[in-house]
Amino acid sequence: MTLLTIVRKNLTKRGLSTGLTVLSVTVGVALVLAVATIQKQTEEAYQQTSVGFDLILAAKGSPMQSTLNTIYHLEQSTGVVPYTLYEAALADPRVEQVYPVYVGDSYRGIRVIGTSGAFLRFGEPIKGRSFAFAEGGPFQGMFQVVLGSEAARRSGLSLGDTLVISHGLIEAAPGAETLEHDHVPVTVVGILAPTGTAHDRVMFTSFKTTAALHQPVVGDVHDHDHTAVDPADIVVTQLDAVLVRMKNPQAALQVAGVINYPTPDNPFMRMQMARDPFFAFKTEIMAVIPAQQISNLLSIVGNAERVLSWVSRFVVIIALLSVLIGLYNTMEGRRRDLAIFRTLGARRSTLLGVMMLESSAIVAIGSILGYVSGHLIVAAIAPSLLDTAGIVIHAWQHDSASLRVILALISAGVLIGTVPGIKAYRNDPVQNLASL
Amino acid sequence: MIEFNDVLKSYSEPVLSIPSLAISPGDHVGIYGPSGTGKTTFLNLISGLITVTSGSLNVNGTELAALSEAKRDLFRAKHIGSIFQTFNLVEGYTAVENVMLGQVFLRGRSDKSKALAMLDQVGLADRVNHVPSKLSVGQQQRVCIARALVNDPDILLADEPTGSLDPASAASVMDLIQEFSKSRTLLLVSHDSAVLDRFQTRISLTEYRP
Repeated sequence: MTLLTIVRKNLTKRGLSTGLTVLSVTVGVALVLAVATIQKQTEEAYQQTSVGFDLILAAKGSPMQSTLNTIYHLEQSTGVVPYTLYEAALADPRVEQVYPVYVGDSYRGIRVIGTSGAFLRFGEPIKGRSFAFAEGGPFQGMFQVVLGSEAARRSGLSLGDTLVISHGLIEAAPGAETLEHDHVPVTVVGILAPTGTAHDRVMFTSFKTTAALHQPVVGDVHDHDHTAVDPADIVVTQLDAVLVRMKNPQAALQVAGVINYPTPDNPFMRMQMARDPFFAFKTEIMAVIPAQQISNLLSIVGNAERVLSWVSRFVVIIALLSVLIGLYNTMEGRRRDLAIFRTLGARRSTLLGVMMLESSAIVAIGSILGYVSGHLIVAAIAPSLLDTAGIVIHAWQHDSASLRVILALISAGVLIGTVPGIKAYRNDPVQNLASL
Repeated sequence: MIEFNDVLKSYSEPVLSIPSLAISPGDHVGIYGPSGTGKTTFLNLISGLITVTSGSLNVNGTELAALSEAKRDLFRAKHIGSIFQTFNLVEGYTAVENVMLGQVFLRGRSDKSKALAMLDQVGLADRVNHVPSKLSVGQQQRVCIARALVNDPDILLADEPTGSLDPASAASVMDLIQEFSKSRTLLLVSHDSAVLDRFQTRISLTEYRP
């Protein structure tokens, strides 16, 4: 037996009280860690999902909706833009890279993004990092798809599998009628390595494939070798958006100004503006600077998370107070035991130490259980966050901040122990024992 | 040796006044007196739980009042064994754990084999894992005796050790106490004349009322 045994016995002697106090700490720590983990990874997910481009050119509507749709693969498209816009962007000498976006189809709830091969070659899912393939490679021709890592996991599709894409973005209820492009199965030619971004949960195909699936001409190739379809035969007249990376990012502001600002009354200025190749589209489209929208988005998400964060901190403070009150309330019942300890030679400082060890043990056990519970909560929420917000959350990712929180709480536990500890320190054995 | 010289102990008013008293090592002394004569105070002074208001109390060559409280605690753990009328066992701790408590506060850790041997010597080898509420009062007092002896103290202080026991158990407990006190100083407070009759040296604390 050591002093630690005495601490353990004191805690188990008051099992219910100890258990409830540990539970309150567990709940508080679990909430704090769950909120902090989701907050951190959500922010990282939104920040890290690199746009890799400076402008979104989309049909007039909500800039946020357009950003969510093209970068995070959420929401609906704001509408269609003429295909000639893509051609104009390709021809513009200020432009470094252009990616078309053609959406509207899905496979069992997994969105199919029609784009160009350049998106997978030059796009950056995370700043400074290109797409990497876990298996296979990019689509080279028509009717081929590349799966994001999560999309591959959820669909169970493997390299070489074929699938039939449905029209629409929402997974149909079992038995419900769907409009399937069943006349044209597509083949999985590549599976991307995980990026931790929204791109993981979609599949990519050539925008000409997406266009072809909606054209009757392809319907006629039923039971034929559809790979024989010549992309040149596919007429693309519209897209959902055009993503543009400028050689000089500052030029994005100039283009955005031409598209978004009203045409000036001044004839000279109007003439100057009209020289810009994008001027011709200004009545139909809007230019969205995604960095600004992401900043707005983080601000909106951040406000909600801040509230949650404060609520969870408040819960932890209440939990720590419950440890203090719980221990303090036991002091009356301990007077006799403490007096006996003193008659056996226990020093006042020893009793103070025992109380501090008790409170720190309660907080430590609660914190460890809270750490595990917090991550279990995150693990439970992660699939729904992936489905609704497109955020990939790693529940068991090591985070040194969590460790710091736990160490800080245990320190707080030691401090809390001083309050009942001082009461123990002041225990008068002569008064508290009936005899000797 | 326990030596009192001009000792006065007061709380709100004087309780004990002992001009001169010496108890030699190995003495067995029965202490008696009506309630309020300071019997418990007398024992608490020797154990160092309280200190004299004035005068000198020297125990085993140590002036207790000159020690810090922490050093008096250590002195008590090392040199004093205490036996109580109400046993003062800690509920929730088994018999052997109660005995080991005395060791923990002296050395920081316990010697279970010694604690078990002590319980064996007081006749409780088959009750070592029983908590106090599962022991008879006589058995509880034996645990208390084992705990008092486990650190091999020089001085044994017993405050009404048979006060809660029936006559048969009281006699048995007194036999035990006296057997284990052969080489120690024993100061035993009692109201029971049958117990006091066992002592050749008896002190009435009435003599020391201020």
